[in-house]
Amino acid sequence: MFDFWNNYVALNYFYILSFSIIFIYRSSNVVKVGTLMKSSIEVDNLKKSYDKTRFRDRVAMLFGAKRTREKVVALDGVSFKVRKGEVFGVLGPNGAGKTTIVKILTTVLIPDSGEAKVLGYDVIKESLEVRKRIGVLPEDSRRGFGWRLTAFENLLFYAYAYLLPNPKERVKEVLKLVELEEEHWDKWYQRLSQGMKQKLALARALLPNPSVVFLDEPTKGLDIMFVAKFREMVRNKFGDEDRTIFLSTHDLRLVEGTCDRVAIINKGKIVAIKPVSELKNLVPNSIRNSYVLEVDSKSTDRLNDLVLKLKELDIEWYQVDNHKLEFLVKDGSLEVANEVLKMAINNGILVHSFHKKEIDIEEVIMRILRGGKNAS
Amino acid sequence: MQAKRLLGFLYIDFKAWLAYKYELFFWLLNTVVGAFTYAFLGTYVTLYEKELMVKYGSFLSFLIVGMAYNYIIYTSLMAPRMAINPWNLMWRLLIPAKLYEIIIGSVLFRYLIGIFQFLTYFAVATLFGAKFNIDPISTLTAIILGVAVMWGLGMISAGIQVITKRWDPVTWFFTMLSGLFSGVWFPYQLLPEPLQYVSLILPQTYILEMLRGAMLRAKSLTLMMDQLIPLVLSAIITISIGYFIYMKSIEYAKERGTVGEY
Ligand SMILES: Nc1ncnc2c1ncn2[C@@H]1O[C@H](COP(=O)(O)OP(=O)(O)O)[C@@H](O)[C@H]1O
Ligand SMILES: [Mg+2]
Repeated sequence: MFDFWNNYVALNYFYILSFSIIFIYRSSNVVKVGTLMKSSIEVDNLKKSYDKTRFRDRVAMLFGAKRTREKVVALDGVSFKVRKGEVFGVLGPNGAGKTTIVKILTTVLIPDSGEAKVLGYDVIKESLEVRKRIGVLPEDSRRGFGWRLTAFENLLFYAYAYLLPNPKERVKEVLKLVELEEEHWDKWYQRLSQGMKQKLALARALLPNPSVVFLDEPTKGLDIMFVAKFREMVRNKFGDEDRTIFLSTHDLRLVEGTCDRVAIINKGKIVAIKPVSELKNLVPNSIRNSYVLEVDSKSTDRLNDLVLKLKELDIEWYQVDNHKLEFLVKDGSLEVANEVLKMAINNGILVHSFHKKEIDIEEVIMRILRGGKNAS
Repeated sequence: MQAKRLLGFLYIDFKAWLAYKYELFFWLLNTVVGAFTYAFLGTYVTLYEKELMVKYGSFLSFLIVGMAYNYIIYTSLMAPRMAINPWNLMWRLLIPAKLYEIIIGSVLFRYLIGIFQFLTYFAVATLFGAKFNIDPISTLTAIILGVAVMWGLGMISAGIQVITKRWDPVTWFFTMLSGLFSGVWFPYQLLPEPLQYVSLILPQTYILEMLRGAMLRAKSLTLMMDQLIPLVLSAIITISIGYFIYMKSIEYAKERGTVGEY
């Protein structure tokens, strides 16, 4: 018999259960603000210029001498957001400002203006909180290692400094992770090859199992075998889906196939932020594809004659390189391209091959860097 | 303050120290030979300079206290600079630690060595019959005040160096002159009268005077106000100025991007 009392108990259970669910839900919201956050890096209008005024001139200015300050603009209003768990690349030529961004985000350089947050913490006001959660492979990765300490001892120091629970075990773990062979663990740092040093620096970056890893020109000195492996490691975020990777490099091939999105930076300004696959779309359709006609070496003279006649067709641009003709047709029309082929054959040219050339990503980047504003 | 972190600093400094085997051997030899040299010198001078014995017991005891503590004074003066050496600074700043932990960690090992040397000198001197008459409280006070004042000066000097990227004159002034003027080797009262004024502006003079009073004649603090007051005042002044300049200099380096520059 289900009397009142039983119902009453059941009802109470229901209340208790629903209250607990609400409570757990709420408290999980309160406690885990960090995990609910979507972006792990937020940068807003960051500006930085380096003051290169020499000490002598500064002193002179203190005493009233009129001299202007020499400034180098490194970042000129940079903004972007990196999502949690994203592999984000910053690509640009030397001196573009990549290292400056990395230094600011890792709290060792103070910007002139603008705001930067890592995992919700301000890099200036809450720098200690930021440092607790990041791992860094800096551009000059040799810094901070003792030359006459072994690879193992060097890392063990950092394990202590980061207050890791099982320092020795953790050091072994990361050394294996970066594939530094065990025979090198007890070698003095100064006797390691450059590639091994770089691996050790990578191990140091991963040591505290950080939520965000900053890699500044990470493949410097690594052999191609390990670079392939390294790309793989970056792609799966060193074994943690939730880890965010911030990678700065001038090497396009590293970005391709590892990064979810890339920011292209030039002279302190971000020119474009796009997934790698979409970068090509930034170049106008008409110039994206060219055709290539390769002829036998016997026909090079005739090829030069042919070029003179191309004016009759809708050719936008062409270039002759010995026995190779490359040309762009208006709107990439295949019909017009075939006209060229026909003309070549009619003129008695021996054709080796005729194909459409996809513009490669390298050229896209070059065009974006050259073009400046129109791609964004 | 995290003990584990300090342990990490001690660990690498100790390992690096062990890695230089020859240097290590010769350092040990130097310490022992040095201790004996001072002991012989002290004994010899004691025999001929009866006048000195009146105030200090023996010249040997006088000399040993000066030599032993001089290393600790020097370490304290150099410590703030060692902590921000450009090779390591960026990585020291990247560790999730407070700046003071980093500074203390960087110099801890040096002090252990200093204490070792200090004790060796005393052991050898005792072997040669030096007599000490120690007041523990004044001794400790003198040591701590000495370290404090020199740290203050060291921070000022390191700060200047970070900002100018040049060799600073402050350290030079206080190390170079101390041998002659502050009474490490002989009582400064032996100097010609006008030169004694130089002694009176060097903090080392007061530190050593106080330490000798505490270790050779068991003077209590109340009897050493002439040293105590100037030392407390200069500790307060140099540490506040030093701390300010030191912190500013690191901030300045972070702003100019010169953290890793020599
Ligand atoms: N400490 C510094 N003092 C003066 N100029 C600097 C300093 N650090 C970098 N720069 C200049 O700032 C610009 C950006 O440098 P950086 O961020 O290192 O570029 P990237 O890493 O993209 O090669 C460059 O022109 C560089 O010469
Ligand atoms: Mg760079």
